[in-house]
Amino acid sequence: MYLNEPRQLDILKQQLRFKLNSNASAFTILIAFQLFALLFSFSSSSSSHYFDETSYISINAVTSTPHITFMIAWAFFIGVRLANQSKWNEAFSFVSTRLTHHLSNLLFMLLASFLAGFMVILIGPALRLLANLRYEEIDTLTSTITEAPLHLPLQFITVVCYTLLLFMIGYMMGSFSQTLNGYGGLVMIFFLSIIFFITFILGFQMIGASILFLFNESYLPFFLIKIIGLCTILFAISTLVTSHLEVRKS
Amino acid sequence: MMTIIECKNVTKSYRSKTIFNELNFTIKENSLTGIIGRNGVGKTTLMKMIAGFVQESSGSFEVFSERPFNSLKVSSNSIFVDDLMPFPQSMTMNDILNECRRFYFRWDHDLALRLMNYFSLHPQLKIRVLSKGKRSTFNAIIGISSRSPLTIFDEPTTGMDAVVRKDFYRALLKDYIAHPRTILLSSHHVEEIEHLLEDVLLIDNHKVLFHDSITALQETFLHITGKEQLILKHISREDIIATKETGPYVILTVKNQLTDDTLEAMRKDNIRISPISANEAYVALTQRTKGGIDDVFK
Amino acid sequence: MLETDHSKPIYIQIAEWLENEILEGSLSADEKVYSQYQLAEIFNVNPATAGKGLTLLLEKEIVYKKRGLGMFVSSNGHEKLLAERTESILQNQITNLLEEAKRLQIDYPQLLKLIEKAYKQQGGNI
Repeated sequence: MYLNEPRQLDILKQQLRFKLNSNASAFTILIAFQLFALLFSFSSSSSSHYFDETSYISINAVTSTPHITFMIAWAFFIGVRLANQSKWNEAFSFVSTRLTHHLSNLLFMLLASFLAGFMVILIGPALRLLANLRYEEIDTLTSTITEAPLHLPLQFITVVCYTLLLFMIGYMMGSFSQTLNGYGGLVMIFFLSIIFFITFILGFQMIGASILFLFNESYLPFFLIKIIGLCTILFAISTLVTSHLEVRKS
Repeated sequence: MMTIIECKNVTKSYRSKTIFNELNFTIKENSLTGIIGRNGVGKTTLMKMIAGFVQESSGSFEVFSERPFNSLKVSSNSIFVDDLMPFPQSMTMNDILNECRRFYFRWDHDLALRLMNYFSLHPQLKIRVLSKGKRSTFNAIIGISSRSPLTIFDEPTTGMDAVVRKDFYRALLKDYIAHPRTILLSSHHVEEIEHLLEDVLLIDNHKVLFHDSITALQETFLHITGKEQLILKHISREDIIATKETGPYVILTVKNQLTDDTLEAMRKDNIRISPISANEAYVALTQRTKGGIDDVFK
Repeated sequence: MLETDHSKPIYIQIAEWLENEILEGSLSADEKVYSQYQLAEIFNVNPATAGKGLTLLLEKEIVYKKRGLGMFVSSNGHEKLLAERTESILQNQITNLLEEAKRLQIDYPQLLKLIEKAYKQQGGNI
């Protein structure tokens, strides 16, 4: 009987298509998150200043920061979901190996990160438009494309990087949650908390330091290397942790 | 005939619990084998090892001449169907069928749609709204339509009503005749699938207890009907596997190892000798204690 | 078509069904017999099991095999079956009769007399 001799690449493509179809809800959740973020971006800060009894200035600031924050949070949760047991079992209802499952998830998260980058670029002008509708006079504090042409691509790259990073952190957490009879996730959080707590007692703020490690990097290539390095490590851990995982419904 | 599955001295244990102890068997190409055994004996674990979902603790397991765990070749040429068979809850049945078309190289989409129609499954419905029985039916349809060279059904009829079960077996048989492939089918209801099977793999006590044709299983035992004292003139009590009392007569199940002379002598004494069904033979082989349920009520 | 009594092995039931078809004349000498796949569909059983039924007939030389074409009814298949059935059925009847006689305590001469009487009643000549 003729047996199929599939290539990894073909199965990878099929799995990616499948994941795009089955995770469509992730993108509707993203839109919901972004709409929710509007509440924060429009009411983040407003201040009124009284000059005298008859006139005052009211300043309302509209910022895109909440949108980016929500985007990154979304990435984390979707990352966790992609790695959970249901998705794992679903992948094996079709043709899959552990490697193709992880790689197709990685591709999915990459695509989603790029999507996040594009969204953020669009959010700037969108907010400006909404602000124009809401308020009479607006003053833009960010630069336009003619003033600082590199700002936009830089913003894009940064958002993609941070989104991917959070995807990876979530994915690793999700992978751990499948180990140790489902308690692996809690165990990992427990250990991490202990580490942070110990370093905190020792006077070294580890959470702050790890965030600054990335935030403070001003040289783009180094930043990219750091991100790619971190993501690779996180992804590798996720793959290793699940390499002998069985397909069971527990 | 090519060997599709080869199992050599395979042991499987979880922590302290042993599921299989040096399991040995081979399955040949284009056969329909029933995997039977009592509850909890490890049928599902075995089938999952064959599918590459679970790995063996020791020993050598080969499917299509490759180790099935993490094998792309095995995954591509096989399908594992049970009543659960997880699918994304938000997708419709139509979506799933389209995914199947993409993944399974021998997929017959037309057949799947006709079967869906026959079993009154509306393709635009989402997976999450299906009842248990309909879900099993849907999974079974996928199993048949995939025409995978190795098709594994693990208790596929769970939740199906009697009419649907009959139709499923018939559909499976018809498609198997038209498009031969290697099928493994496990079920509690041995009497329901007897007619479908060519071979039987009986797992008991962490090992393969019986692996031969279903006909051979049937012929392992005999029923002897008559007056008990009369029968005991020809056979000894140790040969009796099971006893059933019906009025003045007893129906004894014995191993089919009696000589022709003994059989002739019994016939002369008006003792009736008859064959038994494969299901009864299976029960006789796997009985834990001597006697039957009636003894509980004595 | 199959006996719902699961006791008699299916392949034997199929073999007997085929034998009946030959005896009744539905299958004549040198006519092609159903293939194992056709039988499988008719009786809703596994083709291998149906094949075993055919093999039984082959061993009894009721059918013969033509390479690549299938199984065919032997030219003397009908006669063979007739003889076999006659012998076994009649033999069975005679055994039953003798056993019944024994049970009713009728001895051999009495039995012969009863047989004669019945034979004459049915219009036979001794």
